[in-house]
Amino acid sequence: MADEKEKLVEEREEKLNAERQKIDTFSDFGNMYNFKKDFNYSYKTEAGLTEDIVREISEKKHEPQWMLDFRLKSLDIFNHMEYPDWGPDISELDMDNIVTYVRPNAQMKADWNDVPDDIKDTFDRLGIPEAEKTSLAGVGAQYDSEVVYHSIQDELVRQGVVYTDFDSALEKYEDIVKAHFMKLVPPTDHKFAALHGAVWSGGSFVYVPAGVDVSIPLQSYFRLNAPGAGQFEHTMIIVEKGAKVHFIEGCSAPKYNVANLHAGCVELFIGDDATLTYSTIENWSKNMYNLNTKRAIVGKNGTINWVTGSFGSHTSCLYPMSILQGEGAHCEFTGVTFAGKGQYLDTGSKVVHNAPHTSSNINSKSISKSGGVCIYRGSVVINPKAEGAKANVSCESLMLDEQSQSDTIPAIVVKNDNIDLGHEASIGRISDEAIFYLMSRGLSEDEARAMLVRGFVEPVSKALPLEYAVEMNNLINLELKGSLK
Amino acid sequence: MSELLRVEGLHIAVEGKEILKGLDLTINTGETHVIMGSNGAGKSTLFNAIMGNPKYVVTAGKIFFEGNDITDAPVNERAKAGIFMAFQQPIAVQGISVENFIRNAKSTVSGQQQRIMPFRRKLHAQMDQLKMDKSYAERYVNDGFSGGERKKTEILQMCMLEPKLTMLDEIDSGLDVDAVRIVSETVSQYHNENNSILVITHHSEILQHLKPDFVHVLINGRIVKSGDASLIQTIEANGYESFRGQAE
Amino acid sequence: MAKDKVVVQYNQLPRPTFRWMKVNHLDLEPLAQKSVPSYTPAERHTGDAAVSFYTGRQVPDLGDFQGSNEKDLNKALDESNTGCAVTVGAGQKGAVWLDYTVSAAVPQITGQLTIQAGDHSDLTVYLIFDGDAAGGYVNFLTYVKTGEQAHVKISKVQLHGHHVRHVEHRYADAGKESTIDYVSAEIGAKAAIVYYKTDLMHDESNFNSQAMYLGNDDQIVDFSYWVPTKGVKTNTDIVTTGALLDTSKKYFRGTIDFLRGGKKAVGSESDTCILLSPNVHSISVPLLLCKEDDVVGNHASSAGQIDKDKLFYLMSRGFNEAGAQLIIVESNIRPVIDKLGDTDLENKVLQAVREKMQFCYKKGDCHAKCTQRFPHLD
Repeated sequence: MADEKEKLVEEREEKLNAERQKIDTFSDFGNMYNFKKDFNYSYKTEAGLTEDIVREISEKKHEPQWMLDFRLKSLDIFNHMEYPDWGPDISELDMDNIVTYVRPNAQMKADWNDVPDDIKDTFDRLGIPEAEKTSLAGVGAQYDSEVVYHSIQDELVRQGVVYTDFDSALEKYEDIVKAHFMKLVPPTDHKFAALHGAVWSGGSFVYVPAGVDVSIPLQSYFRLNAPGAGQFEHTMIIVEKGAKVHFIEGCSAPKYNVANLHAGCVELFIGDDATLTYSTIENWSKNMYNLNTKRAIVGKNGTINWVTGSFGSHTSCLYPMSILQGEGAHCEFTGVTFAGKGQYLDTGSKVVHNAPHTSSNINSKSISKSGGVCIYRGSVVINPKAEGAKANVSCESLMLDEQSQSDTIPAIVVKNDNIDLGHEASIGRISDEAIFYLMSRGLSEDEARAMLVRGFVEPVSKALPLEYAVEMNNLINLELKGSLK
Repeated sequence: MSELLRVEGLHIAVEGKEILKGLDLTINTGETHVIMGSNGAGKSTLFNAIMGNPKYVVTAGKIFFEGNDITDAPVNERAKAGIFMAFQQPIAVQGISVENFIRNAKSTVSGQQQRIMPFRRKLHAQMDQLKMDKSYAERYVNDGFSGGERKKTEILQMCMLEPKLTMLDEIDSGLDVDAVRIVSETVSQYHNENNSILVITHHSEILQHLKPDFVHVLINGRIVKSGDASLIQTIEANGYESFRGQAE
Repeated sequence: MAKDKVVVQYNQLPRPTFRWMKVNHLDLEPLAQKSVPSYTPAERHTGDAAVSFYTGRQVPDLGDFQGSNEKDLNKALDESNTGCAVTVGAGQKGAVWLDYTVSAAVPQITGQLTIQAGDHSDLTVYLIFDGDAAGGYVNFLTYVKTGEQAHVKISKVQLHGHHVRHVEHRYADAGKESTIDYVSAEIGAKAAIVYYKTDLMHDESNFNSQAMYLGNDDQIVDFSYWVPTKGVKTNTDIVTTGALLDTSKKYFRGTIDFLRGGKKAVGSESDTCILLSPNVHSISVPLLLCKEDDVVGNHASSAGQIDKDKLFYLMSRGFNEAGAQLIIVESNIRPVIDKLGDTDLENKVLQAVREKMQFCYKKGDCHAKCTQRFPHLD
């Protein structure tokens, strides 16, 4: 008996190991995300941004008047707001060329067999239906501007859990949506938040009632197929008192020669004693401007866990923010950013401590190679009310060659004395001593480097479910391929 | 007895400074050699040069292993050939567990993919012998380990990788009395007529277990005196000063 | 601050970040500039140092150096009321003491200090700022240039009274294998604003800066450092340590800028702040910018109250709480004070620290004579 059990364990581990090693020989892996589908759609707006376009989107979606008003107000803010005077250069992004709304040639379905073949094929190739069978409690799939598939396990529905596309949520739970929509990220926050408020479409809505523990993750996958388009999905998650949920988001797109824009918005409301884990594996194509806004507000003794892997996009500005509003609220941020050739990834984390005994722990890793630019930009604010707050920030940056760039730009503001704050950052390359040590055990230089890079990002891999850890591992191998000296 | 390692007229420079100045040493299979000498004499430099650390530049001389000239061979090729060095200050490798690390290394050195469960059983048995807690297999290599734990992990690697030539660079420093005994027993158990041991130490205690065949005194970049184990007593009694005259 | 209110911006961060945090620069109300008579500081020197005073501009072109505030910098360049040139020739060694005192007669000092050190020279400049006057304003430019293998140290003690705004722009260009050492004690002034840029463009040049501060009342202490490194094997070490009382505020903006080609550079910056009152603000923005892979860069900042275990330990040895607190604060800043290298100045700083910590009540002229290295305990 014991032998048989051992054999099973061994088989599982060997399979996983084989999976990890296979990738080294799988030269075509780079194309896994980069396949294009013919550009079919049932409706799309003209490129650019005008009041007519905003009205058109709202009308097509049969929205209530308040939402149209909200969109128009946001548009007005967008038109009057300055672009940020810090951060990456986005001058190549021309809003007049971005198509803000592309309705795919499909209605939202709850069965993959009802999803049109070319779209289903896309998600098949990304492994979404397969993952749904084995490791997810609910799945949402967005194609261009709209969600084409949504499902959730019956058991969760019985417990009162809601997981649906955002249009349906606006229809069925209008009061809840109205009370929360862009309350955490107001359109006045920054120019792209205003843009989002004006042209948002698609996205997911999750509601977990008090005390419900959703033990298996929910996942939303965002695929942008249309060239020159923007994706502006809105994700709202409300986790009531004592409830627990893990939400995973994945993003990818084929590469085009024109700029694509992603300006999504994620608003997370975490109640007292509740826990939300929000994981992201982002692999947008390298023509994407990823100007995304994510924000969480956390109640008494609640927890937000951010786990993020940022690999794709041409330019990213992404700083998930945690507002620790209730006493004892906690934030954990674990992130890795990997910038390769032509990429400018400005990422980080923001935390605001607003209540006593709140705590935050930020652990950020970045890798840059082949001229890629990684910026860690973070902020920690400890306000006067946050007595007994604890904050810890650690940023490590790895430079894999001399063409790349890696900057650390943290800012810390402390406004009360009863706090404990530690901040550490380091920049450097893989040490010659470490490579020598590993090589003295027989590994080649490339193997030694790859092993050290994998070890470097292990804290993030460890925080992800197995399948996603493998995917991230694959992405890293892909990025490292041929780049090691 | 066949020749395992031969070092001929070796000159080594580190950052432009000459440390070894014409060193000769031959080790046959099955032998145990000890290198003794004061701090800064060049003992660790010799080990790093044999292992192939690129920071240690060979300016003259040659190194042969099993008759092959390895003077220019990269470090990992030397490891595959069967040379192992237990580092004086082992490096911490974050994110890689001890077990994964050694299994990877074993697969590479032996050229055979190591199956997980048999490997784990063997690893655990070795850890038992070294009186290491099994939880160390799951921990990141040397990350947060005490000095003693790092040294035991080095010996654990030796046991698993089964090298032909083991070089122990002050393996006994930072170890308590019990740990020195456990480590030296493990090494002497591993030692047989098919492999050789080369030791740097400042303490005679470990040598009581390892029973060296040859003792070499290294002063100012050269071996100035070689002899059998009785040389250890001479050194203990008179220090290295008495050999200094022979260095010139 | 109301929108229409006119503000002056000091110490702009070389790479700005989130606007909402208000950390990219320091905003202060403009201060009326008075026309002032020309002024000569008290001076003495030893060794080979040559000192001369001048009017007008002797500072060479500063390239893209912006100073703490462009307008103030230009004023210090073009309308200085006190200029001083310190030089040591090749292979020479010397020390200079300069004491700039603000008074009712000279409430504002707009000054230049030009320091030039030849190859293999060794120069120490002790820079003392003190005195007080209503509307006091010190706007001071220090320029340092060294030859090869030179060593220039500036020990600065700033003990102004509470009406003075103290702004220093300091630019240094370190020659090959040269070392620039700054040791600073920022104790006085209503606002002490320093902006230090040091170019390490030459191989094996070094920059070390150690600064201590002790803020009280509504004081503002604002440190800004920018160190671009392009030479091979440069070394940068920036340490800032201090404590805040009452409603004082501290800003630390440190930027180590590893430029491409500056191989084997090592740079570290650290910012430690002890928070002694509930209403203090501690702001820290330690930047590491890196375009070169063969470097080691580190920064660490920490802020917090006095370690309770340390306090307990000291009180178990018989110190009262105030005494124990002082010992802990002192143990943090003493390593900097001890490096000033002039016992008289060290004692002045210690005395000022103890006065602020309300430990020594003997305000007056006794601190010059005070050699008490441990607090008097009740």
